[in-house]
Amino acid sequence: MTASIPQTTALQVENLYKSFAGIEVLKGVSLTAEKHDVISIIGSSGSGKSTLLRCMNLLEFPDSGRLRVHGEELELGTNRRGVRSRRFQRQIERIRARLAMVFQSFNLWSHMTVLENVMLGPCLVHRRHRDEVEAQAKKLLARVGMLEKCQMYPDCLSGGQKQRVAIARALAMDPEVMLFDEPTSALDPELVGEVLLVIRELAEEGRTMIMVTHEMRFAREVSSKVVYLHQGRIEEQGSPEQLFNAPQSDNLRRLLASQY
Amino acid sequence: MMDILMRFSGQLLAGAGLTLQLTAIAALLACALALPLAIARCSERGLLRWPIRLFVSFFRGTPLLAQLFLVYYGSGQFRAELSQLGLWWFFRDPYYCALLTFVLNSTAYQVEILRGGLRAVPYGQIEAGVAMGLSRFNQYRTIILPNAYRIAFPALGNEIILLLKGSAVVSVITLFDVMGQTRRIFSQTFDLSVYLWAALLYLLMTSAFVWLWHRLELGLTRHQRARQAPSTATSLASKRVSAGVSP
Repeated sequence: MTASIPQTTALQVENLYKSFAGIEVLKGVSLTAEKHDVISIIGSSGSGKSTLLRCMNLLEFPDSGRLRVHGEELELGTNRRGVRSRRFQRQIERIRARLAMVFQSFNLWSHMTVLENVMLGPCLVHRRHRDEVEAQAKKLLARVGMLEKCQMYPDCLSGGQKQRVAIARALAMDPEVMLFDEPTSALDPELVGEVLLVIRELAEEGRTMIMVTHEMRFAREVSSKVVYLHQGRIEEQGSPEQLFNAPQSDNLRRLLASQY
Repeated sequence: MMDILMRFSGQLLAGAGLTLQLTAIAALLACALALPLAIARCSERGLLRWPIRLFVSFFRGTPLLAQLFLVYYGSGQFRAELSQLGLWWFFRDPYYCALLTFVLNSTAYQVEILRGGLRAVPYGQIEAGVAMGLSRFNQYRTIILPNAYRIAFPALGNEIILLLKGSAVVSVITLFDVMGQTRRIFSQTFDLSVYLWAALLYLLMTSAFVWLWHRLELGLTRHQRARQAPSTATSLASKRVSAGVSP
């Protein structure tokens, strides 16, 4: 089943279409993330960036298109009745478990401690042993500099701290690809740096990441590939140097001009 | 006044025992029934939703006393049929009739309370679970229900207090709860002060319940009060006013 896909491909979407209430948000988007790629998706608001990211782990169901993640292949929009079937549901859960998502608004579970937040996924989704999960969770929290707060509840933390915990929670799932949905947009300016630092370290260690972001400078520094989305279509993609130094599209040029 | 209390305290306490027993059993059974019904009520499938709506609007929209009469005296009209079904032993006993009525009535209220709780769970927290590949069952168990019950907790306490006081209606179908005992004592002594003692007894029971519920709520909302390091959290505990449950 996976023979046609090279082993280096981590995630691939083909021809995604998605509309909300008759308004077409994605108009045939295809994107491939190779292993160790760091892809930044940029574009003005309303261009479909977040929708594209949310379609990748099926928080939104594309109207049609194809999704491939590590040996799982999903043809979407062909069989509407199948969506409710147990088999299909299991397949979706497997795909989601391989793609960890970091949200703009953190979405930590407020009734669990920091440590419990990080441990829940590995315990319940991967069904790993508690002691082993706890040791790993503490290691990850130490890595994002949150170990000393591991017994606290999310309400006690600052935005930057919450987002670092959310990143540790995503890492604990040992994901194939990490999806970041504007991870710094809800943060005070002085807290943005600590989160970007963590993301940068992940990029440097070779994690495959896809990130929707407005931090152009950051996108330029860490990305291996930048994708410019405009009105539901990929208008331009390439290396950060190409896109930021010599943008071909007028729309992108305008966007970049407004940012600097 | 005091001599009435001395003479009949045993009977009043026995009444309190029955009141508490009816309330506790009915509240627990209703709690167990309300959860699946509330989840079904929130589901997208109209097929499940409508019968529950009908049930809820009937039991919320009619007086508890009328419901009790309907079950106790109404079932008498069908004695032959109920005997045939082997259910007559249940419906001829006022205790079981009262219990059934209270369970149905309280379930209706608790379904609505829980539905409110389920709806108020922050969607982002559910989505974080979904995005992780949590199964539907685990989403409910670890994220949705813990949040929903915390939100619904004060309202559930109110409902149980209303049920406790409402249980006084069983005195009219010959059960000797606090109210039933009080009426009997009054008919023997014609001393009105016994009603005062009954009122105080109800107040005592509801106050004890409010205290217990408040303790439970403090435990459940630990995470909302712990805005400082856990060691200093207890001093802040008193600052947070918990939503009022009052008799």
